[in-house]
Amino acid sequence: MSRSSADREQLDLPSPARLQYPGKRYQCGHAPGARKNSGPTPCPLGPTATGECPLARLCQSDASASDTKKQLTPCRPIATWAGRRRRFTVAVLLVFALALVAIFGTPLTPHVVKPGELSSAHALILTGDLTIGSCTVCHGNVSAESWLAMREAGHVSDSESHTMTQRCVACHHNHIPENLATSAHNLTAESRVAILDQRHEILRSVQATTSSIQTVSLSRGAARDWIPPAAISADAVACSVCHREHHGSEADLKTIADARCQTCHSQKFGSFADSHPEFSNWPIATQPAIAFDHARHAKIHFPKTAETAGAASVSYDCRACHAVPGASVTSSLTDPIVTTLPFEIACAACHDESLKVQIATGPALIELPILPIEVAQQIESWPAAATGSPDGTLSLWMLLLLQAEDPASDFTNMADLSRVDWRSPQNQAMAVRLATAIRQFSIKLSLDGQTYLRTAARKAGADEPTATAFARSFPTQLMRDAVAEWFGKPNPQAADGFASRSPRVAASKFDDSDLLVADAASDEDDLLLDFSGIDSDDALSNEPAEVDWEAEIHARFDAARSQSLGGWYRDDLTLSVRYRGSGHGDAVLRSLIEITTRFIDRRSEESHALLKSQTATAACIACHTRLPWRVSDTHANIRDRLTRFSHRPHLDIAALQNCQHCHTESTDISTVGSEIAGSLPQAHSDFHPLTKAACAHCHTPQAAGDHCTTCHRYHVGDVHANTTTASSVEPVR
Amino acid sequence: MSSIDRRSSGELSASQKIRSSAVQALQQMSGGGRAYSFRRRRVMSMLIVLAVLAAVTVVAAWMHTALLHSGVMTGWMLMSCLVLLILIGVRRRIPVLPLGTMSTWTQVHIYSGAFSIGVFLLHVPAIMSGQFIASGYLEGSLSVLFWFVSGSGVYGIIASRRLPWRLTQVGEQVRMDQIPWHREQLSLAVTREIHTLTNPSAIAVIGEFHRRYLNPYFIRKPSLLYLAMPSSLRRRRVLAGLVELNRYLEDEGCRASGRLAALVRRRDDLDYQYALQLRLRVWVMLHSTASIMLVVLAIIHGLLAMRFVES
Repeated sequence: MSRSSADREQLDLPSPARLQYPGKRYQCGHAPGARKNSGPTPCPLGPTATGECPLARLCQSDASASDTKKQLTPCRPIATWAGRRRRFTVAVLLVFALALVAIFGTPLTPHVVKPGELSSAHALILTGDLTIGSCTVCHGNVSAESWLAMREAGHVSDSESHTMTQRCVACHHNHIPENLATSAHNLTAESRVAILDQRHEILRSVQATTSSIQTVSLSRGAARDWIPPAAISADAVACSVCHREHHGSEADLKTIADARCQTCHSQKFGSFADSHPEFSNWPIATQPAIAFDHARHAKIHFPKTAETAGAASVSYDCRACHAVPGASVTSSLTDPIVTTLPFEIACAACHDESLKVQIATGPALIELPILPIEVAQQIESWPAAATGSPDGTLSLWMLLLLQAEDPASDFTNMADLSRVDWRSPQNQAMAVRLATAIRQFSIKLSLDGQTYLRTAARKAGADEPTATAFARSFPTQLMRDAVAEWFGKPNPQAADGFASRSPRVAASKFDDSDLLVADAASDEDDLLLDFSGIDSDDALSNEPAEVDWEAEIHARFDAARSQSLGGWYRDDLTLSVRYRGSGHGDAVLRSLIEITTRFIDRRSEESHALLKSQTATAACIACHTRLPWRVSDTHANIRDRLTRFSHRPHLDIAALQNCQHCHTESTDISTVGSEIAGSLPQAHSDFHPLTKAACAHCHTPQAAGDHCTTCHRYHVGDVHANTTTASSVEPVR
Repeated sequence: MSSIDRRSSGELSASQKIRSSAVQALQQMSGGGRAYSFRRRRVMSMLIVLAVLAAVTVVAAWMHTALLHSGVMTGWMLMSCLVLLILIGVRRRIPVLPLGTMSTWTQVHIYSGAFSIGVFLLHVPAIMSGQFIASGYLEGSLSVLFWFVSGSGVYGIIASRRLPWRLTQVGEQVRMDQIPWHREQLSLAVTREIHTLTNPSAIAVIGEFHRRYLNPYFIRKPSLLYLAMPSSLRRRRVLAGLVELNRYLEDEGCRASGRLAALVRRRDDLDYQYALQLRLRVWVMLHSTASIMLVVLAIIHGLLAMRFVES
């Protein structure tokens, strides 16, 4: 039905009274509409602002005002709309204020002011039983008493001076160096400048070698040219600049727009396919941990082995060494595909036998050199077998341990005694010092044993586990026997507690000749009698069980036959205590190499030459060109850390399961081989560098993605070079 | 048709037609070429708001890319807008000060509100991904309040233009505070009309109808459902009853029935006016109260944010 005014009948209705108070909070109780029926006349004064009728007061004060009372009757004022609205507003705001006071005055405050849920990784830690509701783990600025109940709720700590970034590093110190936490890429300004110069050099070389079209694409104006420069200092990049928390458990804290990455960079890039510079040398030509020449193995060794063995199964297959079925990525940098399988699986079939032969001639811990008579006479009880025409070389171990024992003495010139100029008095004096040091070292080692050896190894630079493993393997009894054999029995009257070794030599010094005669008769004759009988039996019978024990005892100890599984032994021919390696990964040989590299210089030519001079260690470093034995992320260089790549997701694509789809081997096998055969291996790659086109085929915004963070890391600071001293921030309980 | 033929015939090419129609549409939309009309003012104001929002968007994106907290900038901008928006209440309460006309303040209020909605979207980008309400209690309450105030503001714009037009359609406008008095007068008029009846049958029939239907209709206040959604259902039901009575009535009774029907319509118009005016007033009350709460929560949120922001 229409509500048009044309249909309205004209009704004769009274007009409303003019006395109204629409703006006031109360109106007279007798006002039109305020009462049910017609009653007393409304009061012209109206109610007060507080809702009181003025007549009520008047009636109380002057009860005799009958005339006024007849005309104006006191009322009960009623609220107008304005009054009701004011009441409603005040009531709602009062409830709101009370709610705020209740919230900020109770332990509920942190739960209310928390802007959102933490990401799942942080929530797992920070909302656990140990740190429940502890805002101070991340926020130190929740400090004032005005925060009402936050202190009582355990949300205020005493270490309020820590910034949020410092609190982040307190937990993430394994990845972020504390002193460089707010520096861009966690690198020093010098490192960044060095990288920048390197990048510019690479870019210039790439632009010089690639077509002019690409050069144009790098410099042509585009949206990336509008990216503003960073508005914050490169040395004041707080964690929260990129990582924003409290966006829910599903939020990815590592997500960052490409433009934000590039705001600091002088060279802006658009899409990966169009404007990213061509790879200069990827995979990176680094010094390999294991000197494995892929090209020579593929083109020479494997075909030769297959031809010799006549087995078609001997084929060069990348997966034989690199494929790790079911392996998971355990390190942020170590790719299980790149990590090679153990020696026993990948290499032992071809290299185990030759390796055992190489390490059979073990290095000597103690080896007495042959000294000239004039030198030997100056040393107490120097063995006659070690006296004569100067000869012999100093063992690597011995050289290191003696030098560590007495850093002032440099016996390097005496490493090969046959080449020493013995006419020089200095050399003779040095030889005396050397022989004395060897004698004292041997005696101390025979007395204090493993403890002394561990201490000596520690002095030589070995770490505690290496030194302990090395010392534990050494049998002290063997050294005691060797010392007794070389330097004689203990004699308190001797200067160092030992007498001459040879009884015949000692006999000339002894006064009591009866003892000598008795000893000689009792020892030697009995032995001769006993063993002569056995010898005659052996000559008559051809049974192998009957051994010429005397000949065996007096013959040189054959370690290859009697100690084929490896271990320490004494060689009386060379007057040495030696070690025979047990095979690949021998702990004692490893400790020798580690001591050598730590004592001298990890990657110096000198340590490399020393290790190569010893057959056993040379066999080790032929493949293990550098320490550590296996590549770890702790030693990755900056460029390794800046770029990341994992083979695992790529192998889901059938075409990429063929490794040679991306990795084509270098054909120049002579160059690579000569480098490895040289003194110290240099950085090289057995493969042709990858081109950007190989990646850009899939890495587009519509396919595999081409964000900066797809391949590049931000936090590349070396935490091992910048050890943190940050202490973890404990929540207040 | 060649261009020479078209030029000689004066016919426009397709591109010229498109360009011409676009210019016409723009002129029609902006009111170009005419006096500074209400419509032109509205279009131009919205264009200005959109242009400023676009500029703020660019600045926020620039700051975000430059590793700055654009949320701080948009937050302060939003806070300024809220203060400006709530100042209209101050202006309304202090009419004596020369602070400009209320019309100007209303226009500023409307377009500041529209601008603040845009800034809010920039301040909380998660809204673009469908998360309209923040997850935290404080932030969630703040976003609920903001959307409520914004929604009520948009409704207010619509209501302030639609409801006055609807009110003028029902005749004489009555002040809301006088409506109870008018109701009472109508009720008295109905009673008087019943008392003026002389015909016994009319007295019996109309009296019975008055007792059962008319009296409750005139005495009772309109229901909450009617106040929320006013309709003519109740009036039509009563009027249909009165029409039904006519066959039992003589002329006097029919005339009385007609006058009663007029009173019923007047009462329904009165209720309709009451409902619409109440709606406007309730809207203002809720909008202003929620605005105060919004400003208070925004200040708390700002204090917390500035305390915890690190860079």
